[in-house]
Amino acid sequence: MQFIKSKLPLVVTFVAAFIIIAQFYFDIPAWKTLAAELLRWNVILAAFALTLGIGGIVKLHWGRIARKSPTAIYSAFTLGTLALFLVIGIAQTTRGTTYGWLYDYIYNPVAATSYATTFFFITSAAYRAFRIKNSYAAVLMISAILMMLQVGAFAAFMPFAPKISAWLWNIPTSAGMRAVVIGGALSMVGNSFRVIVGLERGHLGGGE
Amino acid sequence: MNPGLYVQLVILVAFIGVFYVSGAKFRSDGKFSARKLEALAKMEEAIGRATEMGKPVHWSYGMGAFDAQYLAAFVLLEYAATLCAKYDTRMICSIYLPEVVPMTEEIIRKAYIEQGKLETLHTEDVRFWGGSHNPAMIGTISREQVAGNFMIGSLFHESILSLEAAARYNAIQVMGTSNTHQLPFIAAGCDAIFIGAEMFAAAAQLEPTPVRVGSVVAADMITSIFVALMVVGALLATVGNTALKTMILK
Amino acid sequence: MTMIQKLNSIDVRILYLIMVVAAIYPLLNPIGLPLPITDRVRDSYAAIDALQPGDLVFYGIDYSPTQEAEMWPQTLAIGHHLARKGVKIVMLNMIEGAYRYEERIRDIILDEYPEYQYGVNIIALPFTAGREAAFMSVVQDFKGLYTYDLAGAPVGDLPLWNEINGAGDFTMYVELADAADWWLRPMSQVPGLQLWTGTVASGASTMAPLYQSGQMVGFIYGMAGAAEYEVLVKKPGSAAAAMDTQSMGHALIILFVILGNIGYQAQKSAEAKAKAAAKK
Repeated sequence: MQFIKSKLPLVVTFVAAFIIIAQFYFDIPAWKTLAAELLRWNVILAAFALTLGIGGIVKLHWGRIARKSPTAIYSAFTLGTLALFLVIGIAQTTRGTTYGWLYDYIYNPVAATSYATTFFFITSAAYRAFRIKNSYAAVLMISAILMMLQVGAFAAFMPFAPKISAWLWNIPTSAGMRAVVIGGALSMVGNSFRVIVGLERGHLGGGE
Repeated sequence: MNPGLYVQLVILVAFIGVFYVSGAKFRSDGKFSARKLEALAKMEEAIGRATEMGKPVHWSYGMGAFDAQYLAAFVLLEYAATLCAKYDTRMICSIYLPEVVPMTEEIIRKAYIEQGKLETLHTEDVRFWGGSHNPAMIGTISREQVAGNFMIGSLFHESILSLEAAARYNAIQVMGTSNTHQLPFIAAGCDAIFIGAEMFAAAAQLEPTPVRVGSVVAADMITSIFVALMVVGALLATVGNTALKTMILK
Repeated sequence: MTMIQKLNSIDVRILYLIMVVAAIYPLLNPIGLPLPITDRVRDSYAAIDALQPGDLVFYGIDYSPTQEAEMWPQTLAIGHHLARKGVKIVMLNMIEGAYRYEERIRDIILDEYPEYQYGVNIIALPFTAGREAAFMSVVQDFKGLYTYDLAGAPVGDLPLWNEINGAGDFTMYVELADAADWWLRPMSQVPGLQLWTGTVASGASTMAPLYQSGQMVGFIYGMAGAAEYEVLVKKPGSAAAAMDTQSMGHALIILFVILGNIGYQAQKSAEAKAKAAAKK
């Protein structure tokens, strides 16, 4: 049991990672076929991971209903909606008209609205955060304003704005972003290597 | 050998070599120094403040796909959970990906067991939201009036939502991601941040072990090589020489 | 506290109200503010314009309903452009919520362009889980990954599917995604495949260095990018109509930032004066 819980995941991780990394560098047809099969399995696993989500949602909200918490009514609504989408999706598949209606006229507008709240939050964030407390903050504020001026009507009334924004975009922003990406990528390589060789077991609940 | 990958393979092998050598070196002499990460101290300050106020702290990994950033976040979650267990402060986790839920529960449980506080663990505080992550997270922050807000992982637009929701209650906010498109937002709004590689280096700073130190030193060394290559490459490109570019693309 | 100092701490609900009015007014009464086209969008347009009839193009629809406002206008404008070029389109989707947009753009192309026949020069493939792993599968073994198309029909029955050997046959990959580079890493391994992306405004900083370095041939972002592209393809739509709102919104945010700073500096100055007076 101990082997299945702690050692087997490490072995599977190492073997799968080795095959996929090796076939990236070396042109060995057998490994390429094996790697392609592993990637297909990963696609299937990822799809099954979605069912974990259903279990998590049901566990959380059923618990609230059972405890008669103040938000139990919302939990009931959540579970009811989940059941509705599941039943209709299984009965009609995602190509069915009822499912399509539910998706287009309930899920879509709700999801878009949730993203649209960013409109308000950006306003209050800009108002709150862009204060000239020091020279760095001043540079941040001026850069932000210049970047906003490159869009739409401003570019027509202030032809210099897109040119300055383009320079800011292409030189300092790209340079900074590249540095962060390179640093982050190398650290990810290190982290991933530790997981592949079993030196890091945080995701299994262990340490190293 | 697949074409165009020689230099990449050499760099990978060099990385692995430096990783093991520096790890062994640390094991023998125990010497490791790194720049102090302000964000780690801010995390402890946030949990301390939450304890004084009797309010919980909030944790989220963001809405990105499962990648190495989650692995770095697990280490920081363990740190935060250990502090929360120590100070008897609630930590509410909002989770987007279902596969991360058991890992999160296991990490928090382990932290509470190590502090001998298993009986105070609230398992219902690890909350999987899925697609409704954003409104649920905002609702949680607003209802609980959290005193600390941590968002470390693969962040997308939910970072600004979480930021502003928690700012209403003057929560101390610490965020970290390698997703460059969110860095400006979190840099402008948070009390402290982990920028990209700092998330990964934080593990080495919290508890230096040969594995963690090796990883940080290897990443730094390869970065230095890249910087040198960039300087040389830029100079060569300026005079019209493409030898370095040709060599790297071999 | 003076009026100027109060600017430092305006109730955010007042700011929200002003923003709502500024957002709704131009939608009801269009102002008609000018919309110049940036060089980057022009160059991105030219990249797709350089495609030849019959070229194979991947068209990746990888955004969720949360990004619909910015991404659907891009999807529409680029879909029209691709269709006008007469390229063979293979649509992919690796995000759970995107299949409806794939269906819509497929139906629009089939309705408005009679030369397009499903299965002959356009195919829509179903959602594939796994994100980067799914893209790696596309690169490694594209034909082995799919058995059915989006409508549930066997792909083996489609003439276009039988013409394709693998990802290497394609000329361009046009990806509409939410600031994700998980598609770029695998797809950049396909030799000769040109990469083109449309993304949300907040994702621009991630993709900009990749465009600037030449790894991508085209790059547009946000509603502004969609609006400019709509003008270039001569099909102004919801993005062009919303640019008045975006311009007003930006103007107000700049104004709030300036007002906030005026108030902040006034507050700081007053505090400094009070401190100096207390010391005396």
